[in-house]
Amino acid sequence: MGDDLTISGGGATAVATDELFTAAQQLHRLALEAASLCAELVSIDRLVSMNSLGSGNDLSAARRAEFDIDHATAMLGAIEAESRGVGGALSNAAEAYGFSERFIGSLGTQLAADGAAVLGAMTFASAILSPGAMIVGGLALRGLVAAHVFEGDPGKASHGAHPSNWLLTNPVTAAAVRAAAMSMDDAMLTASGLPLPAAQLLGDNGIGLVGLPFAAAALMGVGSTVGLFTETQVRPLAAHSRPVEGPPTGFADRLSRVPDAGTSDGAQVVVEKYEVPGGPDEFAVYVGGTVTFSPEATTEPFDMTSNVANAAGNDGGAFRAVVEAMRLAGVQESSPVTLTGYSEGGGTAARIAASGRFDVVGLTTFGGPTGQIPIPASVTTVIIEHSDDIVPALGGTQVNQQALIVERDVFAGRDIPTQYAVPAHHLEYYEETARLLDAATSDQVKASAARLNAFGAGATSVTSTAYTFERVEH
Amino acid sequence: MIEPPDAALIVALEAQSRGLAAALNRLEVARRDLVPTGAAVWRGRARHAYDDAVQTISTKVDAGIAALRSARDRTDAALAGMADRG
Repeated sequence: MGDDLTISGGGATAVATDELFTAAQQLHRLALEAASLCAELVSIDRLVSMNSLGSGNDLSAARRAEFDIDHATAMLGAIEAESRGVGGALSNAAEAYGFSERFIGSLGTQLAADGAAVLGAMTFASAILSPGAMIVGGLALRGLVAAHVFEGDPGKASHGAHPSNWLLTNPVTAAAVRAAAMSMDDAMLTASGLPLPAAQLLGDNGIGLVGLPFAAAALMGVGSTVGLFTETQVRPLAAHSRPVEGPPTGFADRLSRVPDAGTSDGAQVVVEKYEVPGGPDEFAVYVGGTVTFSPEATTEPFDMTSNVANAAGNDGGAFRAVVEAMRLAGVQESSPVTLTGYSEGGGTAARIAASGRFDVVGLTTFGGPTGQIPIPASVTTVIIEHSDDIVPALGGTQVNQQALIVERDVFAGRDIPTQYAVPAHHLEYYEETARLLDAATSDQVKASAARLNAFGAGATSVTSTAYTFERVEH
Repeated sequence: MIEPPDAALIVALEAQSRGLAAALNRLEVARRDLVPTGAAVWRGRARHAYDDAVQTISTKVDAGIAALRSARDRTDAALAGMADRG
């Protein structure tokens, strides 16, 4: 099961594994081919009539051939019917699974939202949101920051073992995190004194006036009162060229170009420029993940503050860094651009695509919290998430059903490594998933891959520049 | 007495042979590319049902290939016999 890719989206409502979609598509084509061959055989059969063959022994082989043609025609009719039936059953199973998943998901989100709203109301009733309590909470969070509790990437190896990381590495936890992320607004509304029915009406399950972006914006507002989640400007610190041979040829190749600020040269953004004869320059932008999870913005723009800003729909430090890197690389508003991001880089890349500031034609995200960022349907989008990874779940329910959504339960049926706090988010496993995706055979995956891989084709000159940014101190 | 071969029948059988050869090739390609293999995604009874369904289709495709091959070979044999009488 750990190697199965579950495919959904693409404007369709079906959800199934790549293998199941491939089988359904094969059977559909087989039915069409059998029907076509059947019609062909009927024509062939008319070429020679049994009457013209007489009854003599000299043409007995030709007469038996006529019976063979009749038998083949009958077989092809049966093949068409069987293939159509089984293929249809597979498609129906995928539709039913998709329906069940959405129904259960929406039910869970509704229950979580209601629970959060009730909790929020109780919080309000007990006056936990009193100024004194807020100050105590803020000071406690600042104490954790001072103790470097939030340093480092939870997806990366750490010196200590994490024997209980299975708690954070299963689809149930990820679904609960997703539901909780979607419920924050309900809890906040009732905690602020709004009646429960009014909060439900305004929330995601009502008219959708408030949602995860509202909750994230509120978190930033409250956090700023104690010096947390405070956005800043950014400035380029360094830029250097990187060796590159050509545009990426697949998902694994694409992911390998995403910078890892923690382990390489400190660059957070890489921009590749493709000079295409007879057309405008094209650009591929690669955005790295979170460097520090501290809620206090210091010098690193790829931090938790930027994550929350992405969720709020604001221009966070990471967003500004990518926009500035694109400007420095020569990207114009009309330049065709593809974006690839891992983790926070995925969320930031999605925000860039959603901003409409650039002519983004392709987007690939790996483990990014992208759920509530509305990506334009005109962008060829592939969203890759591990269903046992809590990081993309923090982005809430996935609204981009026009995108190709690829999910994988990485540790289904195998041991969870204890050297990582959140192993399903680790780059190594997304690299595995990218390789599986390159080998996938369903039409949905192949079509999206072909569109993304066509970008930069025919380029006569390819250059790559890596950029490092820092926050400008308050 | 064996009658001389009918020229129109020879032309028709030759066209039939070519048509059958092309159809056979297409069905062999379909057998290779379009009949699903493996069913790792299924478990338990669903896997048995799926395996049985795919096996049924495979058997029918194989039978169709065999019938087409036989039809082509017999058509060619008839043409060869007519040429011998020629």
